[in-house]
Amino acid sequence: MLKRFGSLALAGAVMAGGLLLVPAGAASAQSVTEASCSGDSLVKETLTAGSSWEMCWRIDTYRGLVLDKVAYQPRDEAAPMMVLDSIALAQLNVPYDTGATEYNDVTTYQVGGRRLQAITDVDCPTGEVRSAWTDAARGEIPAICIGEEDSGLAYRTNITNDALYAAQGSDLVLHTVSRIGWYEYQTEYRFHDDGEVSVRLGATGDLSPNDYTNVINQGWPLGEGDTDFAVNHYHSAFWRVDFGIDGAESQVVEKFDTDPTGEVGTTGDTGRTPILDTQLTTVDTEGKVFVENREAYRVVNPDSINADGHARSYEIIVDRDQAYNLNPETDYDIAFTSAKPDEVHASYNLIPQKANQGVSDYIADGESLEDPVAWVNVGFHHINRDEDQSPMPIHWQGFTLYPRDVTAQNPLIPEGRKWVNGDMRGVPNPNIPTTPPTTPPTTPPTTPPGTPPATTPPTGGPTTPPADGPATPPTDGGTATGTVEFGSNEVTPGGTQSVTASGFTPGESVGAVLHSDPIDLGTYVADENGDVEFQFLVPTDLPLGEHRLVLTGQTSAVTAEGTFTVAAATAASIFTQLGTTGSNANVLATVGATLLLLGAALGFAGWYRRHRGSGAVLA
Amino acid sequence: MKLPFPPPGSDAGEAGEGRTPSGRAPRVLGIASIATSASAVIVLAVASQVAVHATSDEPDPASAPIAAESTDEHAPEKADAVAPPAAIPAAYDQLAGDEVSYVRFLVSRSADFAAGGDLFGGAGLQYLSTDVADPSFHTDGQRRLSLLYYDYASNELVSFVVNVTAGTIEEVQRGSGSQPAPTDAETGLAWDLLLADGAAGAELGAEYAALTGGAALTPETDTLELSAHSFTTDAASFGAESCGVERCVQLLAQVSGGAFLTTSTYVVNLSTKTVLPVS
Ligand SMILES: [Cu+2]
Repeated sequence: MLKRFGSLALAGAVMAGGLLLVPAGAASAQSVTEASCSGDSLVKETLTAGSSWEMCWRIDTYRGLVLDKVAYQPRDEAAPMMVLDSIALAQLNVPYDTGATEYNDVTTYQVGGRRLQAITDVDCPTGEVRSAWTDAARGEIPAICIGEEDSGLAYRTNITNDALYAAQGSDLVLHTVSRIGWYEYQTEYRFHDDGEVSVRLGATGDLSPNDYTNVINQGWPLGEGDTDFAVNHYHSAFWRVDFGIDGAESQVVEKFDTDPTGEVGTTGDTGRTPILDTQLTTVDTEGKVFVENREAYRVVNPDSINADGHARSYEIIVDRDQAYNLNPETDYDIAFTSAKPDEVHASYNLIPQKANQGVSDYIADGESLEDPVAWVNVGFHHINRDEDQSPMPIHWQGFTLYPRDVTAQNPLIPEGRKWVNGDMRGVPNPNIPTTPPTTPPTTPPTTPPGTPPATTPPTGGPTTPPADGPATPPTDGGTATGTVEFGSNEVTPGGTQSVTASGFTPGESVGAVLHSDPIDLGTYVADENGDVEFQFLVPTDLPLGEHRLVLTGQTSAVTAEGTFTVAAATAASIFTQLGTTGSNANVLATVGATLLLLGAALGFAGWYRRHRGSGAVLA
Repeated sequence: MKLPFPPPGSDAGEAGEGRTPSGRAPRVLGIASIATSASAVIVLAVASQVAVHATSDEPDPASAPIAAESTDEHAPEKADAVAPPAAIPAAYDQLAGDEVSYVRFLVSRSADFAAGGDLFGGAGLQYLSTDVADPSFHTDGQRRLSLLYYDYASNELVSFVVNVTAGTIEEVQRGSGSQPAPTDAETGLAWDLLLADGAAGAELGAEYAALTGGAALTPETDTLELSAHSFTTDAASFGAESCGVERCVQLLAQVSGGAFLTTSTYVVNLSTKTVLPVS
C-alpha cells in the first residue's frame, strides 16, 4: 500500500503533460520499432486477446534469425513498450561423448545464409511466409513463418456468485529452419499475449551417421541387439539477449536468492514449514552464473514504473543444472556482459578485433554492467533413443523471458477482476450486492446506527443529496484522536480511495466505518508506528457529496476521522482516478465514452513520460 | 529503376541467368548452386526447389541472386562499377541483394582488398559474408553492413563496416585465429584436394562404389551434395594443430539417397592446400 505517493505523482505528471499532448495524437506517432525497419522486415501483430507485439527480423549469415527492437503492448496500454533491443542465437556447441567430434554450428557451419531452408507448406500450415535475401547464390527465398497460434488456457478463476473468469490465450510465433549437416534445427520465438517470451531451438533431421561406437557407456544401442551404439552428445544452445526494457538508458541485473532462515512455522500441515527469506542483490559486474536451486535473475529498468509504483523487469527462466559445465565455453547458465558491438558470438567470435574470443574473454575485465546483455546457455544431453532414428522426432531446448511487474495487474485481466489489486481483505466484491435488502419497502426507513444500509439507490445518479448532517455522531468514548489522510480529497463512484491513518497503538485492530450510511470497510491492524494504510473501492451507488470515514482503535479507543467528497466524474477526477488505479476500465466505464479519449491521452502521456530523452532511434 | 548489378560491360549475373526466362514465370530459386573451382564444377548445397511469385516484369536486383564468390568471373568485386542500391533499406531491415553487390564492390576498391590474397593464390581478398552491422550502436539511422573476407596471403580474417547510406567504408579490422564457415568455392576446392589425396581418395572411392553399385568417384561426380564447416583445434596430437591460425575445413559429402561418405577422418588445410588425417 505504499503506492499512494508514486501514484499521485503520476497523476500530476499526466495532468501536466497529457492535455498538451493530445494534439500530437498517439495515432500518428511512429513507434521505435516502426522507425527501425520497414516492409517485410517489420512484424506488427495484435493478438486475439488485444495485446500486441512488434519487432524487426532479419537473417544473419551465421546466427540465422535475428530479432531487433522487440516491443510488447499490453492490451490496455496505448503504446508498445520496448522489451529487447535484440535477440539471436549466439552459438550452438555439439560435442560428442567419445571426445572425437565437436561442432560449433553458428560460427563454423552457419545457421543462416546457405543453411537456411526454404519454408514449405508443411513448415507453415497457418502462418504467413515471408521472404529474405539469405545468400548470394540463392538470392531471396521464403525464409520465415509468422503466425498466431493457440496457447491453451490463459487463466481461470471461478468466483462464487460472481463469474467464471477464464480465457484461452495465443502466441505470435516466428520460426525458421536450418539444415546443418544431418541435423535440422528450428529456431522459434513465441511471444505470448501476456507478455511472456518463449525462446526455443528444436532439433530434428538425423542422428550423426558417423558417430557410432562400441564403447557401451558412450552411446545407446540403436538397431537390433546391442552392437551399434550411437554416440551420446550435448547440444548447448546459446542466445545473446540484449535487454532494452522500456527504452532504458541503464538497466540493473538483480539476483533473487531464497534461503531458509532455519526457523519453521508450526501452523502449517506438517508443523515444520520452513521460513524462507528472499534477498534481492544487484549483479554489478560482468560474470557467469550458475542458476542454483531457489535462485533467479531479472533485468530491471529502475526508471520504468508501472501503475502500482513497481519497476518493470523481465526475468530469465532457465532449466537448472543442464549446462555442459566441462569447458569454459559452456560452463554457465547465464553470463552477463555490457553490450559491445564486437562481442557477437558466445564463443569463437567472428569479429576480427576480438577474433576467436568468447564469453570467458568478454567478462575477464569485470566491467560494470550498464547495458546488460544476457548470454543464456541451455544444455541438452542427448542420450539417443531408438525413436530418434530417421526422421528424428523434434526435441526442444530453450528458456523463457517472463515479465515481472510490466503491468500492475494481469495484462489480460477481465473487467470484473480489475478491482482486485493488492490485499483486498475487507473489501466487498463490487460485482455483487454487498447486502441484500432486509427491510420491506413499507417499513419506514428508520435505520438504526450500526446497521448496514437498507436504502441503496439503484444507480450512482445524483438523486440523493449529500447527507452531511451529524446524524450518526462518532463514538465519543475515545479521548485521544488520530489523523486521517486520503489519497485524494475527491473521488468518483467506483474509484479507489486510499487511506493513511495514524495515532493508534501498534498492533491493535482498527475498525473503519464510512458515514453517513454506516458502511463497514473492514478491520485493519496498526503497524509498528501505529499507522493504518488501506484502500477501498468507493461503492458505485454511494451518494454524491461529502462522506466521513471514522477509524476506531479497538484497544486504545483512539478515533481518527476525516472527510472526502464523492463527485461526479470530471476530467480532473478521471486523471486522478486513472493515476491511482492505472488504466482502470472500471472507472472509464462509469464516466462515458467521451472520456475514453482522455484515457488514451493518458496512456500516450505515460508512454511519452517513459520514453522522453531515451534517445529513440529515428530513421 | 536502376539496375546496379550487373554493371555495364559485364555479363548478366550468372547465378540468376537462365532461371528467369520470362519475368512472368515464377522465379525458381534455391536450385543447385554452381561453384567453379580450379578444375571442377560441383553441385553444392542443393536445396529443395521453391517457387515464389514474381511481381514485376524484370528481375528485382534487391531480391535476385548474385555471384557468390569474389573469385567468380561476375563477382561484384571484379566489376568496373556497381551503382548504389535503388532504395536504401532502413537501419534494421533485412539484407537486399543490390546493396550487397554495392558494398562488395566498394570493398573491392579498397587498398585492403587489393593487398590480400584469395583462395586460388590470386590477388584480392576471398569474400565470405555480408550481414547487417548491429544497428543498435548507432543512432543516426544510417544503413551499415558488415562484410567478412579472408586473406589467404596473411591468414587473417578481415572485416569491413560499410555505410551504405554514405557509400563509404567506415571501419576495417583484421584478426587471426577466427575461422568463419567456408564458402562454396572453399568447399569445392577442399573436395578436390581430398579426392586428389591418395589415401582419402581411395577410401572415399571405395565407399562411393559400394553405395552406388560400382560407380567411380571423380571430381566431376555431380550426385553428391557437399557442405563443410571450418575446423579449429587446440589439440596438437594429429598434425592439424595449425588449423585455426590457418584456414581448415572438414567436409560432409552426402550421396543421392541420403548416405554420407566417411569424411570425418580428414581435415583439409586450405591455407597450405594439404589433406590431414585426423583419427
Ligand atoms: Cu542430438
